[in-house]
Amino acid sequence: MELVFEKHSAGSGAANVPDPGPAAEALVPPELRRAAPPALPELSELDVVRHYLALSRRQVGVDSVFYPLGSCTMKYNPKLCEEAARLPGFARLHPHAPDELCQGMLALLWNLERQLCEICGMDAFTLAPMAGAQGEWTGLLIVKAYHDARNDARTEVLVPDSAHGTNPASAAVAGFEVRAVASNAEGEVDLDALKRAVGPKTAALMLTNPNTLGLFETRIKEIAAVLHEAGALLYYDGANLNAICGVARPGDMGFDIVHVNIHKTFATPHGGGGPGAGPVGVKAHLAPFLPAPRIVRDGERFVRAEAPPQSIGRTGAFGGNTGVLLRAYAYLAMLGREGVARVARYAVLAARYLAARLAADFPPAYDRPCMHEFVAAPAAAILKQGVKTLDIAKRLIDYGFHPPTVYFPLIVHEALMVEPTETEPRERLDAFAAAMRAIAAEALETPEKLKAAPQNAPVGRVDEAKAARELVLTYDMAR
Amino acid sequence: MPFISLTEADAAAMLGELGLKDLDALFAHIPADLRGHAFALPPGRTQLEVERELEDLAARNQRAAEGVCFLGAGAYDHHVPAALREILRRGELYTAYTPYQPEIAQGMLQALFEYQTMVARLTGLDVANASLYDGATACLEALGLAVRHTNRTRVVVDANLNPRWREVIRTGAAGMGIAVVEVSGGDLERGRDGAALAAAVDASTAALLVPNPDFFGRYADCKALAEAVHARGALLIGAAAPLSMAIFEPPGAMGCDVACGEGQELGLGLNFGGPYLGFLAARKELVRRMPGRLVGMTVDSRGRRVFTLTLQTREQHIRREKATSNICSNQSLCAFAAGLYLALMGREGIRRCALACLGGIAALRAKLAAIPGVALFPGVHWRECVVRTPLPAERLCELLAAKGILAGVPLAARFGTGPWQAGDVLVAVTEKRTAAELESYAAALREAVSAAR
Amino acid sequence: MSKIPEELRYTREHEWVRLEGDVATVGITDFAQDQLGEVIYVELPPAGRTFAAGATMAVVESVKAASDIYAPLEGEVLENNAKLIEEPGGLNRSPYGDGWLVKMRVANPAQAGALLTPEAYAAIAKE
Repeated sequence: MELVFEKHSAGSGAANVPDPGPAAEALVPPELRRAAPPALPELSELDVVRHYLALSRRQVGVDSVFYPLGSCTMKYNPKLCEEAARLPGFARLHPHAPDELCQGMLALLWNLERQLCEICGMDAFTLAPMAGAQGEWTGLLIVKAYHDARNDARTEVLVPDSAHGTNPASAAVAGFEVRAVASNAEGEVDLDALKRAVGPKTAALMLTNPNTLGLFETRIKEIAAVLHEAGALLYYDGANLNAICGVARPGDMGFDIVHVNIHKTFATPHGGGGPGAGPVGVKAHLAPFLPAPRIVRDGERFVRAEAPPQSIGRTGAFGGNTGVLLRAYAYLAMLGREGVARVARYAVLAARYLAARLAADFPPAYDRPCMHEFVAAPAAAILKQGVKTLDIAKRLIDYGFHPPTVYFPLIVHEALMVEPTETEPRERLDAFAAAMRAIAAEALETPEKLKAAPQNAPVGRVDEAKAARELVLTYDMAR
Repeated sequence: MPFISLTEADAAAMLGELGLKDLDALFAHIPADLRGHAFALPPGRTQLEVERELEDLAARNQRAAEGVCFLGAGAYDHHVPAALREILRRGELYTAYTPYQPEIAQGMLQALFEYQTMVARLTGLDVANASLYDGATACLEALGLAVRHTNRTRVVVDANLNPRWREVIRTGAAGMGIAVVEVSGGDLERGRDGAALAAAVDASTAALLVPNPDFFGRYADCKALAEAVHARGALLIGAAAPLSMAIFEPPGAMGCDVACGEGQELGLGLNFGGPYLGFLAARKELVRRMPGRLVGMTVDSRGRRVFTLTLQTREQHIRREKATSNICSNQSLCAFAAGLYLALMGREGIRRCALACLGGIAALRAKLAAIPGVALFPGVHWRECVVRTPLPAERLCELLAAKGILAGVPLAARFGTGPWQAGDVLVAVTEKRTAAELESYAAALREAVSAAR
Repeated sequence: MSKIPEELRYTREHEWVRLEGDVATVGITDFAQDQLGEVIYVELPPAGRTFAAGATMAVVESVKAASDIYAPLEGEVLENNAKLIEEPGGLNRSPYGDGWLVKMRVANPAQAGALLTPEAYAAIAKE
């Protein structure tokens, strides 16, 4: 397909803005004037629209196909939420508008904070972090501020070896040393290894529960006790909150801090990689460290307060990805108490059901009841054919499905991580299972079909090695 | 049941197949005392009911959303083309995840590649990444990039950078092993002056971060600064406004090694502060130290030109604690929208838009300069400037708000102490402001000031 | 089965060392290059840099993995393999030959005794 730079047509966006005339041009001092205009496309509006529609046809989302991408919670994104974000009273609101003039927005955000507190079992929330990883970073800066305030310098953050890569990366940018904790044969944190790792240097343990293998850490209260007895904090990575939403709460398990991925559990769209939102909740003893701005209720009035003196500061220019947050508010308003109670129950049912259907050809990595997602790997007979998980993923595209997450978590060889979510009908789960079964049969009989996949996608298999070897990151680098 | 496609009958059959008696049996392995909480949430409501509530809430913001907007300080009231809003509603695009399966994500990948190209061309640099969270975090990440590249830890930041962005830098720098020194690049009265900045850069400095325009809307030539910075082996980072680059010498041409900043002005609307768009561009040599996702060009199995995420070994999911950044989810759809905006506007569209901001603020300044008691400050202003009146800034804003004008950002009230005074308001004029609106602004301000005298 | 030449010494991190006097040539093993897959980038230290034993001194990257290379012994870099920077694929073709990474002057050649024998390394690579 042509790039936008390769298309030319009469007319351009000039029509969008009146010509300010030569007098304005003269206001740019010669030494500051741009020598040649930036080489941007000059297309008619019609041709721009056609270009981007052609692009959209080469893309799939949850709105197009079943998207069981493990660890990403690709549930349906309700359309009222989209409309809500576009209401002029929200969309045209400037972040520096005086508080008195944006009471509707502040009330909404304050209420969202309260609901997140209730769902997670926390005492206070900040909506400022703009993604899950930024939430982690915010949470870890709070961990640091908490220990520093107690004159207790702690330098290490523990992460399980099954953890998502953002955990160690966030700990590192927050200034901590990272120490991995091994998983045991059941796929849970090895409690003995944890006890050996915890010490006076331990600032916190970052934990996803259920963990990245889709397994609930059944000894979570013991884990919490080990950390707390050593004076360390327990951090909840909310990537898998969908597995317990409406059933159990991190706060009741002993977690001191959580971040939630609004774009996972609370049904806001992933936008092809973002924007998301990563609010952070804390128990009361950590509330003084939350970043600015704080939304405070003063009688019937809501105000944005500056950070308290012990606050970590500010994590972004404004109060977070508000446009994403208000979608989540709309979602929760529709769900309510009854709806929230169903989220995890149906998400776990779908995953458990699908895991059972796939088990013959794709045995689970751990023989334990999964939560909202499960990690499996191709049966030995399939791998013996020289077929890789990647080939299976690409072949699934031919069957009209988005592949699951592959090669994660790193501790499972040839991993396939499947998360169906609560929003798919049973027929779709069955169809996916049937496709996986057919692919398993192909792997044994005609493995070359898998190696050559996909055949029915807009493009054939992409040479990722060449992209990294011969770096072409702009159109100009290609020429 | 809202958004759950499984029927009761389906659920019963599925549970039967699993040998479970009910839904709660799915959680039997979770200790029972962790499952007893009665969630105190409001009851669920129909779409219609929720729609009405949201409309009511939105209506309570109406005066701010409909006011004639002269607010800036990091977010600007620019026009959003209708075609952009329309295309962003395509479900294939906005409901997709990160393009980890390039064969079915060429739409987003190609659009991001085009965005990277446009940002590189705008900034006059070689490469750009596929987005960061916002302008503030882009500055912090740019400093991290410089520290990794130079193996030095000290950075100098112009104190005339947006104070919120400086706060974010202060919040994050220590953890990243960055020692920040803030130095003023010129006060309000005398205008911008790079001498103190250049003097602050020494042989242990990784980078100097300079805004253009600065927080007060003033543009300055950085070429001499670039020479001074490079002579000491440091990098020059330009925090720049993308629209201004249509007419002003871009960071790359002024000698910046890295450009970063806020892309909200590229068609993203106001949205009460987010989602916005952090952009980051750099010289080719720095690409392996860059944070964030990158889209590259390659071929598919049939030899056709295609796009894919690349250099992922820099990123957290592979490099873990040694990654160049912890960023995972970014602002892809905002980058997509910014590329679409630039395609819709074209080079002539953004030239006109940038000139309208330049001409608009100049026209307003001319009107305000004629009002007794009003003080303005020297410099080449683009889109924004400080206006000083004898009234407390917040009082002035209240008086004008009563007339449907959002007069500007009261600096002392919003940002605490700084080089400003109690009567200073930061005022922004975009291409949306008409001559009549400028006239009303001047008239309302004249009235407010004269009533106070 | 990957090759493990008899005349070399090894580390647990899958590096090999050829010691000639006080000059050590360092590379990664056949097993390591196979695990990494197609190498697309190497970052090598310039001559003159010194490293303590165990310090990170280089990076080898494939498309899906990046591997830190640690100094097997304390010493100063004498030369890096510039040809490999130009053409990283050489590491896959000839890990023990053209694919060497750096030559370094070892501070204390006696410390080489702590390196693994081919037999000991073979046991690790098998795990």
